[in-house]
Amino acid sequence: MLRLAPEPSDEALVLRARDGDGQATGWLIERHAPRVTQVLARALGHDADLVDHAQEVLLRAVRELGALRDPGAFRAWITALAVTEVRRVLRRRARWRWLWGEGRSSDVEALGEDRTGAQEALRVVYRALEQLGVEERLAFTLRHVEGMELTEVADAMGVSLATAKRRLARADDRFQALTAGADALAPWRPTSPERGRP
Amino acid sequence: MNEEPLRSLGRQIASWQDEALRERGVAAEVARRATEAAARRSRRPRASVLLVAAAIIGAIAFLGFGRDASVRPTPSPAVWTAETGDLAEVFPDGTTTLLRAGGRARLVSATDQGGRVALLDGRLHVSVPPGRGSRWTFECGPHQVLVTGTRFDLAWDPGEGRFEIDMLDGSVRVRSDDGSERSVVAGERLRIPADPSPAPADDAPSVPSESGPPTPTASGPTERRPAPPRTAPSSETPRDQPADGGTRWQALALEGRYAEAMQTIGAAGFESALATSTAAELLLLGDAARFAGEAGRSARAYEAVRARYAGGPEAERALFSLGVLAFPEPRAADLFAAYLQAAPGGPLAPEALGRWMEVRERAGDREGARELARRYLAQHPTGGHAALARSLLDHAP
Repeated sequence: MLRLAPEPSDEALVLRARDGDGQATGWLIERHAPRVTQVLARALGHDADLVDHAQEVLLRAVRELGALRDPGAFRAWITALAVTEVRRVLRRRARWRWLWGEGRSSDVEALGEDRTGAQEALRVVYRALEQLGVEERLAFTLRHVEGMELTEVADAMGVSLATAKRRLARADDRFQALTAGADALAPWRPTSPERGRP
Repeated sequence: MNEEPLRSLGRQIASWQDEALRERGVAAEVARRATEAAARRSRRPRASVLLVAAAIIGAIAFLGFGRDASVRPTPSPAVWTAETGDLAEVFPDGTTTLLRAGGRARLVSATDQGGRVALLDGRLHVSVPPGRGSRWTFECGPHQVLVTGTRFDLAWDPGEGRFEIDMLDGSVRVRSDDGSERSVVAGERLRIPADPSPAPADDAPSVPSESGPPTPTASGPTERRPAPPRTAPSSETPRDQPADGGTRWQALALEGRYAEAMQTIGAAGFESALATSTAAELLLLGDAARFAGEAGRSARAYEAVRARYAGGPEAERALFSLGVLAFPEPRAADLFAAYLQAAPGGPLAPEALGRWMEVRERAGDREGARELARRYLAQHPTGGHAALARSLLDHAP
């Protein structure tokens, strides 16, 4: 397969793409498409238009490359763009849920019928996340599902570390309260009776 | 609090999601589409960009992101040209397309459950059977029509940059490169005209478009279909009127600038329009207010149609729109029921019945919803709500 070697850095690709180098633009897209897709999937759960949303993030990045002050920070920047897209989708979803209706299938159905436990757990999780505010949901999914460090979460959300921590604490408490009786999540329930954040 | 249980759960979720994304080849699809779209915007010669796209897709496959066998490469040649007459295509999921004579289209990708078709020029009739999980996207220059199950006629004139979709059944979303997005439901027609003014120089993106059709103002109007001749005096279409004086709000509404349209018409103008406008203008006013989030003014415009054009098809459409405005509140059920009583064979009957069923289901009236589901399947077995209807009946006690 064709592959450029050695791979240029993000910074080099951004600079070349800004000069109109289509090849560099293509490599940036290819390199970051999986990351963008994952961030969107974590935060949105099932969304029939996941590909469209991810495409929109990547194209926005291409369009707005000139606005990126530090070309070396492309990864963090495009993650923040993905977070912005999540906010837009979740807010529109909330406004137009009556029009689009609820999701009628789940991404995890692709796992097959033998994974009904996974499907049920995912449904419970995202049903609970639907009850959280957009910012709390983002904090929760970026931290726990995407596995970001708290500083990364704060950067992606464009808030201070303290604010990110507060949102995460609220999200955690709310999520645990909402899923307290869900059998599907029993394997991941804390065994300690202690609840609440110190 | 020990957050390890949550992080453990999160890791498991991420693992499941990644598995599903890999199986569906989502990241590869994202990269391919984004690369193609970026290439369309690029000033670079198209051949080199496509070469890069091919290399990228190959690299993605090599890296394992694209290990889905369902996305089959576009057959070559993938451009359909209906030179001598209409050209029909039938896909594995039951979707049919009919490219009208003189038209050109390109199959971008196809899977067992959908795909992507670019209408290059001309008219295309599309029928996607609902309830089979199919997902199709139809591209017309900068506009994308997102489909899960429906019937519609699509037209694209690349020379003029004119886009038009005429919904026959179900609903679709139309998304444009400028980020605008709208829904079009059965009985509605969306037209997006080309922007006659060139983009300002300082607004040029870093990778501006050099070739291809002019970029339209991707924010066209959703309008009702013209009324039949018997109501001609009351159904002149607002788009034919000049955009000056009292019709300024109409021009804005037709461009999809609904909030501005409602701001322009103002309080006094709104009252005047209620008293003097034609049925088509009132429907446009109701739609503009609805899309601008002004439910009160929207309802008053629709009610004005019902009062002044009682018995006509415009009044029936206003009734349906009032149902959409109220949806999913329980009172929407009465409005959809009234529409169906007034126009049992009307163009919006399948949508009205489907939404009525949804209202019942959401209100917890399972038996009422199932009764409507049976009625829906009997009348519209392939309609946009057929899957929901079957689901309701499948879960009957």
